[in-house]
Amino acid sequence: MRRTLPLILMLMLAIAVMAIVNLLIGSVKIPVADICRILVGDDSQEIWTNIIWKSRLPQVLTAIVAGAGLAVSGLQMQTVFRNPLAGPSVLGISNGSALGVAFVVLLSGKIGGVALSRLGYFGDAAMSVAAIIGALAVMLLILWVAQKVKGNVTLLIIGVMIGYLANAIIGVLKFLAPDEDVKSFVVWGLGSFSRVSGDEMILFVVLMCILLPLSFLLVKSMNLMLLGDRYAANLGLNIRRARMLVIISSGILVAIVTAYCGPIMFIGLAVPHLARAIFRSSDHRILMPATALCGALLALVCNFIARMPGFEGALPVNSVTALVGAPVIAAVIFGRRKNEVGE
Amino acid sequence: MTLLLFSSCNQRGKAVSSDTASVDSLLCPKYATGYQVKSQDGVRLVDVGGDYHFALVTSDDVTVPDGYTKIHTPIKSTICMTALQLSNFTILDAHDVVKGLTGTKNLFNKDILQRVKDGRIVKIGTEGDFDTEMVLAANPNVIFISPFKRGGYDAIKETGITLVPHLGYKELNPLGQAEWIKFVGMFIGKEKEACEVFAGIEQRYNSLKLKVESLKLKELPTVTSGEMHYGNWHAVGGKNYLAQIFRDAGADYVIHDEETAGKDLEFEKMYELAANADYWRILNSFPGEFSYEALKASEPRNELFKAFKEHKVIYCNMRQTPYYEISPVEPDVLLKDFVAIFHPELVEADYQPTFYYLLK
Repeated sequence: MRRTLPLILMLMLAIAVMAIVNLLIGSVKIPVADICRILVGDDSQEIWTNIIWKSRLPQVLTAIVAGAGLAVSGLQMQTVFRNPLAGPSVLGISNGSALGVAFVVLLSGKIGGVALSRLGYFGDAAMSVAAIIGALAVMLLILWVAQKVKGNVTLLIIGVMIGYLANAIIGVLKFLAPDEDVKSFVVWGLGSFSRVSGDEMILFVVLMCILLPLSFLLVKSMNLMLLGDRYAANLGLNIRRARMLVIISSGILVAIVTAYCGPIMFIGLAVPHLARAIFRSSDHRILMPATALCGALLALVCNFIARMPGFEGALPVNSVTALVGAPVIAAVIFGRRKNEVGE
Repeated sequence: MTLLLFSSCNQRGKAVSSDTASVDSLLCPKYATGYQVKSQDGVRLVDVGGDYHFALVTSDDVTVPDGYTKIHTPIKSTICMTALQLSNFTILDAHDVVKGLTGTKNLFNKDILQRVKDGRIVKIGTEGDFDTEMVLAANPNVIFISPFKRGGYDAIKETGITLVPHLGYKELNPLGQAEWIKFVGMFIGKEKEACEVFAGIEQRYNSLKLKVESLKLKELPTVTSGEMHYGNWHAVGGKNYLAQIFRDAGADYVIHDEETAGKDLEFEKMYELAANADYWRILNSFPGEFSYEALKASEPRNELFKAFKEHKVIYCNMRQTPYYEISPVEPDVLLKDFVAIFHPELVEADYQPTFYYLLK
């Protein structure tokens, strides 16, 4: 517990540093002095001002809240299912958003004609709506199932099956869709922190700033869940209700992040492990904020790498999260396990 | 001697009759780089892209040089893999040779649609997943292919049908792309028509290009192209077909690299390049009437561009205009559309654009 506060402060500092690095460096070279001038309100360099305020800053904010949201969502799933391999995608919720987007992108103009296709073009806004609808639909299905079945494993398996089902439908849609639409869908699937801008970005950040603290309200239940269903029930926890609440919270977080950034893999699964390893705790009062901060930091690092000069947007965030994140997290966890053995 | 010279582009081979020889000389591509033609012992030899060699013969008892695949012309049936290829047949009035297509999305030609409807043209599926049965049912003499990466051609090759690469899509010069109608003309026995049609295109294109050059402009209007899509902007390269048309139409494309196809750029990079471009060319399949509101709705940052603010977006809607289906064989019309926007004084006052117009 003694090391928690300094660690949290260090994480916050690292996030601040990475945020600044993200603002300073991008595919367009802007001298640091000019960036400082722009940040204090000088707008004589119109193009650079727009790049900083309308491209880089939104990306930084998006990466922070999206990373935090995904990581928290992953932690919630891992706790509910007491399964270290659980993540935001495990219940098919992200597949649900992908299915929603697939309907808009791949079927635009084919079914229902005008209505769907019109939605299809208004590009990102319509896709966000479709992604949220898809994710929430799957989530409602899962909740309905959760009421019927008792065991977590059963629920998990059903979730995975729903994911497969959604993927199968996406496969058929892809097969039927013309090439350029499939390409659009693939690009969407690569994930990006840079597609949100303007009012949408503000909406996204505000939503996440409301939802993340709300999800923190569940830490008590989550701590009890770690004890196992029977103990938790004995201690007065309504297991079904708690399970539903956590799934709802996790599902909504994933749905919204996916809607705005596309399906960003890996962060949700890996960051909770990272946080556990760094903070050496399984107390959710510590883990929740720790996971959120680690998620935000990792997202910023990945966003920075993806946009380093030379890559110029050629690297999709999804590849970077896994390429950079996997070794780092494996190393951290490996080191921790070794210590445990040594201790 | 003159006849000898005429008989082939490379001045090789022997002369045949003077009439054939002159057609042969016309058939040699002037702009296209993807194929070559030469005559040898009355056999027309066509080399495509270095790796493919075809000998076009009119009777079966002709021997062809080693390495050449014999094709009996004129062919009576074929399958087109792309709209670009189809455009070659359309302009040569040879739809009856086309027995199969990959799809009919964004296809406007009434004759083709009718043929698909009553079964004279079959749909053979998309690249990477051809329906071999449908291919066989179409019974093509040859199949024109545009090999991308998805493959699926091996299965067709197994059937024994000759595959002929049509590399028109690779041409960087608009006239070079259009010149592939001569290539198709040779296969379907319409070489004379093809040469005439192309001569017309060439004459119209070059005379307008000359008019633009004669303006001797010190400063050209700048033009950008493309749209933001899910976080990236696919920017066509400075050596692309489109960049060439912009140049010929008297405008300066904002990207000056050596790329042909282009690459995906981040918003900030593209914005830096294109923020102050005078014009902005967009080609998409927007359902309904495209507008500046729609452009802004698709990406709020679009309004930051000068061309957006000054309402100088050059637009073509593929849902309303048969763009891919006919523009490859009408580069002169494409050029005129652009010239009408960049330098309106060079075209007639009541000019009605075919593909691209200035979005109001």
